[in-house]
Amino acid sequence: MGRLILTPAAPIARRARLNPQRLVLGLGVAALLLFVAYPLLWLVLGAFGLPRGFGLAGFTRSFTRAANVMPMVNTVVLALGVGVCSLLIAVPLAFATARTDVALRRVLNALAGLAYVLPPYLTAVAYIILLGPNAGHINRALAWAGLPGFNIFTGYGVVFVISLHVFAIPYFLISEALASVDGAMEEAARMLGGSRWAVLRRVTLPLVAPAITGGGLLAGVASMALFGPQAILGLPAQLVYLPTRIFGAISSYPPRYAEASAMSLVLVVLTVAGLAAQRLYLGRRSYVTVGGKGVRPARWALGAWRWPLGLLLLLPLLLAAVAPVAVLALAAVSKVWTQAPTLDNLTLAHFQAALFDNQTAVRGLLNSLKLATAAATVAVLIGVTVAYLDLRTRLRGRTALDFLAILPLGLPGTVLAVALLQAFIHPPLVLYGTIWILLVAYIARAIPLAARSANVALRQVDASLEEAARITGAGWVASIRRILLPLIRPSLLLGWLLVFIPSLSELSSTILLYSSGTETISVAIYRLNDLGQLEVVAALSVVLIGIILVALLLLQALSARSRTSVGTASATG
Amino acid sequence: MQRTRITTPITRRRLGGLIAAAAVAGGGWRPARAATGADVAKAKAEGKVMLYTSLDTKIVDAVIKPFTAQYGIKVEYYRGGSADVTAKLLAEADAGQVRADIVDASDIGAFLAMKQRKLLRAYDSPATATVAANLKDPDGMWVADRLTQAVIQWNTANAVPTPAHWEDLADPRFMGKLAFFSSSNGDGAPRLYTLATAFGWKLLERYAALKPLRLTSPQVMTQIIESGERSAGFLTNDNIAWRSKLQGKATDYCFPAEGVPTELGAVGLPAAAPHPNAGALFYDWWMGAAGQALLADGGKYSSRADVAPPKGNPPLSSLKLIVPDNQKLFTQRADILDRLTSIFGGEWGG
Amino acid sequence: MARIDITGLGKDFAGIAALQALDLVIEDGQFVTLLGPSGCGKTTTLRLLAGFMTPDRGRITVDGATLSTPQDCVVPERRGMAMVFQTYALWPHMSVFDNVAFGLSMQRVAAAETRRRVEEMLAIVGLEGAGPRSPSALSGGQQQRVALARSLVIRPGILLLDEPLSNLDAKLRERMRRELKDLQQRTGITFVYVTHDQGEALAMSDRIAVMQGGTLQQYGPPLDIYERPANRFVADFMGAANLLEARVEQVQGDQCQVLLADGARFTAGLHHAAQPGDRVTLMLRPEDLAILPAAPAAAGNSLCATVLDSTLLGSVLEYRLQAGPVVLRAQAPRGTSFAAGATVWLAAAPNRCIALA
Repeated sequence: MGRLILTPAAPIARRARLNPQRLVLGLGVAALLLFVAYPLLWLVLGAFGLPRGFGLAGFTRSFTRAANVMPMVNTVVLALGVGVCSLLIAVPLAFATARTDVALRRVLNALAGLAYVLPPYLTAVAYIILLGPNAGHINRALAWAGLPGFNIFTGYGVVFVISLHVFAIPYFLISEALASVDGAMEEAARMLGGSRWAVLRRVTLPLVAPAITGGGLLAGVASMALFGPQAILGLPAQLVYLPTRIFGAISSYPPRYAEASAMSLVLVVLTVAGLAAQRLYLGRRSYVTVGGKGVRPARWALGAWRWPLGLLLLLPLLLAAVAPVAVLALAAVSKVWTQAPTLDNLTLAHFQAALFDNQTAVRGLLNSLKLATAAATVAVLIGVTVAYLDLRTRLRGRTALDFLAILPLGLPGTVLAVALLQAFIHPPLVLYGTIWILLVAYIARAIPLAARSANVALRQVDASLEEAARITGAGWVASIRRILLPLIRPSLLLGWLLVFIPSLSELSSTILLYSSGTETISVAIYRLNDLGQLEVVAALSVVLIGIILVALLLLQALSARSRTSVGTASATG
Repeated sequence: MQRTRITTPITRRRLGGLIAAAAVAGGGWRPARAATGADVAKAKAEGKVMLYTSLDTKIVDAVIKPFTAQYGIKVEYYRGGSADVTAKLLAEADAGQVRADIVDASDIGAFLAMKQRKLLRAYDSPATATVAANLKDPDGMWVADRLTQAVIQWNTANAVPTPAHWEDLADPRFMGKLAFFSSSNGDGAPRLYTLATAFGWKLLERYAALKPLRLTSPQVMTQIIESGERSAGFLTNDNIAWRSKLQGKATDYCFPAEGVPTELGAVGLPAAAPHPNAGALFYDWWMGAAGQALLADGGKYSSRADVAPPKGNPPLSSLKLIVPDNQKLFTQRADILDRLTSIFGGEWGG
Repeated sequence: MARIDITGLGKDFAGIAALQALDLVIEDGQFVTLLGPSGCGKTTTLRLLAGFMTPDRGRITVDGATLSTPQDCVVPERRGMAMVFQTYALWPHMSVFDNVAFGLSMQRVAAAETRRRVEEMLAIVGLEGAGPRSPSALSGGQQQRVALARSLVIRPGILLLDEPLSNLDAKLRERMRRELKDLQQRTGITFVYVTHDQGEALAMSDRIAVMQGGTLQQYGPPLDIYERPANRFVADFMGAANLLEARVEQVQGDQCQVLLADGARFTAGLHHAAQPGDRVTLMLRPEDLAILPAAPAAAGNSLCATVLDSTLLGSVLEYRLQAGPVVLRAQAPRGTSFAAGATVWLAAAPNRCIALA
């Protein structure tokens, strides 16, 4: 066996001047600056009255007029109420599904997910049908039984409906925390003679307390931004929250940008304060080991109580996920929703109207599909760029970029819309009146989630896999195209769907930014609801829910698959 | 098919008198040059009309259909409350992105605002010849197309007592049983203002004390009354109440004898319309006898003297109409919205 | 032909120098190991060589062509190098064949030629027929060979290896050492090998660069490094060494006589400038110490100690002994037996003793 003859390596060349890496990453950065930083700048300038003038009138009016102060108070009260109510649902549910052998665990978990992806304004519409003070199905039944009804058009109603949507946030947070508490800690406590309840109270509860508090805070923060239910249930009840107030100030004529911008900043402050409190609390008091290794604790055998408890826990989930869908489906096929679903009250005419006749509905459906697809794609691309810069380079300023990418979390949809409206209604870049402004809004709203998913995806791929490609002769583009992208594709698709679903039903920003021809499905639903065409609204809702369910099933199939593929990637890389 | 009917001179004079002070500030309609109407060929070449309207979509659909059939021009519309339509057009004008070819809203104040910002263009349509001069802008920027009366509506099954006058609705027996309409951006405010100027703000305060349910549109308000959710409502659109009764719902309505607030709806052509000729052609159609007859078929009172009132409704001449001072409505809009907010609470866009 | 010249190379992370100013010449066709504990700068050096990082100071040239300076850095794919990673970094979404063929496809080598070269390379690393398999279906050792094949098939001038054996079990590690050395000799490729395992370094290298704290401690052939460490750190790192405080009494060329604290005198090699009276460290390797039951006849180069205990290391016994305040280690053949508490003498030949600065 002689010495292998190897020809010398390819001649060493100087680095090419045109650097595709810089180009692609530069584009991502530019998009982030344009979609997030530039509108925010205009939000602040707008609050000072620019470009029409300069002054503090926006702020002074915000804090001196009762019509502005009340919404601030209402918004804070709403957040507190929703925070508490969500925890009332989420805490028992999370403990039961994570720590006991309660019946229907998988169903409970799936329904919690469904409750979260259902657009909350649909839940609101459904609850008008169910709990309208006199005509609502449930209230009529209660009245028939001689019981007092529940008026959904009240502050309690708004808290109730929003809680049915956002409780999923603390639920999943607490479940995750419980799953990652090392069971050995609990077992150790039991070995030392603690009863189940004592262990729960003295060991488990303190361990997941940060998740509980943080989850409640996040639920409260989320509730402040939900324009849909606030408008659909709050406005008839004469209850105004900051988003509906801001909407009123902008959508009346003449629009009062300064006042709306100043109140938007107030909402931003409230949101950021909530998020910061959650971070601080979670950061300081997190004992939960990330990664969740260790012993999995034995489930608490409930015996005869398995089913009764399961059914009890099912109740809020039925209210949150099943009842709204069922009620909307029923209304969609009823000639008149207030009448009983007898055979001669059944019709498919509303679907005909929603899918073919009503031009706003037809345009809305198409626009929403287009917008959600484009927004998810662009947001994921930007997300990958941000994650790549963060994890794979030592570029200066990438921390600022990270910050920009999570910034939209602090911007409720209404606020973002006010910012975009002012940024893109005058030169140099006029997007108002076109579908592009909606695309920008959806992208901006999606960036935090997209960046987070991309970050998780990228962390699962060891950098050495790309370096191996580079040193084996691949340029940067080839290393991305042939190695990185194929490896993170399943995770990215997951992130894409996570962004696609909420974009499909986005209302808070859309309602301020849409124009003739750029209506979305959410706008069609909102506007038709304004006109009382509840049956067509229901038909459209059923179509929307159908698309969401398909996306959700895809999501579930994918996340199962991506878990296995991540397993192999980490085994070899 | 001839649907025209000559209303009595008394009606026209009386109506004109009512509106004269309000709708038009300053002189009358200039002697018209011969109105020629829109260029059909150019309109067809443009092929499309974008209509911004606050009219009920069922009427809009009915008016569009024969127009498209006749000219082959597609009509898309953006439908919202009057304030929505106006705010949208103003914002588009800010962006230099006006997309409306023709704008229709039930708020003369809105047209005064658009006119002030020079967003409208003068147009003398042959179709508006039979509209009273004082129902037109002196500069030809807009013309009233319809008159909406704000009526009392009630559920015939559970409205006790049956209301006939504005005063009746202030009865404590209507505690928690009233409904009214106003959008979060101020639609409905003009008619409340009109009512207040005629019968005093105290009346509104008494209504407010009965905790009326506020709905975002006359359509929803009527549904609420149909379903029995609420027994009666003040200031709903006459055409919506008319349709409800026509459909055999358990509702009825009345034009109170002491006076009924009238809102003028108007139509105009944006100066920067992307399809100016098609817009003008549709304007001719919309204001034409056939178009206006379709409005009347949908329950609207036409501004044209030669179009009959909706089937079963009394002629306007038999009603005591209260028309607001639109100039005042326009200039004092912020104060009015503030006052309504302080009386009723909630969001008024003020 | 691939000679690497590293001059004044430095790299900082967050203001702290991971590599200070490295000067190193790696001759063509040599197997050079960068050896040191974690954080010594060896991996930084390797990544600077690969072009994954831009240096903050200094320069890297290969065959006279400048590859890296703080101003400009040739991208990794144009440096004519290949690299084997500690984690192997096999691409999980590609078959073994595709993994190995990747570099060739980047060079746009024709399909038939690619097939031939990949098969040939798989045969060389002992993986005939493994082409269609998924890397994740292979054992650690097999994955290691795929990684090697992938690197060698593109015929690099230089192969960089980043602790490639650290994830293998002991027996396989032994075998791979020989195979790597063999491969290097057959191919003539310059190997730059990073490890923290001095055994690997000694077994395979033509030259070892011992690094610590971002600076080069010693650079030379393995035997030199082992027998004549430049300082305490190298002596200690290159294997269990007994290090004793001493003072120089006399200097004679490259030898000197030193005095230990307990009065014992040793003659030892001296490889740095020293004068009588200087403090030095006397290095005595455990395997170079003879354990004697009685005092040796000749005076000097021995000291008295008490046996503490012994451990069987396999081929030899290692004793721990107390000599004054210090504990020493010494190795003896398995036949010997000194009871704990016994007093013995430890002796070392002068050419086995080194006085370190």
